[in-house]
Amino acid sequence: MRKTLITLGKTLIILGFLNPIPIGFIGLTRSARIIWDGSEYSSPYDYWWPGFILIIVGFILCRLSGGKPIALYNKKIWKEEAKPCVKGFAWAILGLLAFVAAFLLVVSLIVGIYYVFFSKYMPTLLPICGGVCVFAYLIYIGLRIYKNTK
Amino acid sequence: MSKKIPAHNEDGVEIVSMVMIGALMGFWFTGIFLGTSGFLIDCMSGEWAWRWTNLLGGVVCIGLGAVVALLLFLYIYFFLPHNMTKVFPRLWGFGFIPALLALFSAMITGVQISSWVVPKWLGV
Repeated sequence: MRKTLITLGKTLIILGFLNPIPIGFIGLTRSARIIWDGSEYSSPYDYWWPGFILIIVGFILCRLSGGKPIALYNKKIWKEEAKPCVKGFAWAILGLLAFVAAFLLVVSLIVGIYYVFFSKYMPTLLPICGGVCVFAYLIYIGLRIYKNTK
Repeated sequence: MSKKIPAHNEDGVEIVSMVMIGALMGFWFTGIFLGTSGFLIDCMSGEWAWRWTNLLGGVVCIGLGAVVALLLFLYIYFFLPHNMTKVFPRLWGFGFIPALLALFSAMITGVQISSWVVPKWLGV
């Protein structure tokens, strides 16, 4: 019984994640639409929540199966196992954030270069860039002279 | 010396976890794709690109990926009985099939949610 429940729960979770490919194509979303608004025709891409319901039901069946999860198996082991895991999870999230930041930086650079050199803003932005460069160079020269004559 | 946990001492990866990792990567790729394409399309049509709607698709999909990561964490540590990890074949080769299917499913679902569901909720 326990094994049947857990197998069913896992199968439902997998099927939930496989919506709409390939589960949506064999009628899950069509059934959802018939239940939801009574109409027969449905594209497999119409609804996101049938898969979500399957996932939730699968989770509930996993809990109802009565088997003890790793976290509740042995508190001591759980604490030992969880420490590196939580650490790894935190590092993974930080890594993802760093990746997103790097990604946005690169896209902003590409978009910025586009605006400066290739768009209708070029007549305004190019002289500004040139001006900033000249100004920075003047400050650099000034600093060199200041250091040499100090 | 701690007791051995069966789930942690076998070869292969549990299929449900692989499916969740596949879905996570699907949302992730879709987020990056939508975040980039919004910017680039606006650029190519000479529009101002730094609008919040361009970021919306990417942020929503990356957020969905975070939700799946949380589900995976909950599943492994609070929902999966430790001695019940062998009810599916636990082989990398077999696990890749549902994982790839989940990846493509997540891409479609991510596009649908960020282009239709969330804009409808926000009324934009």
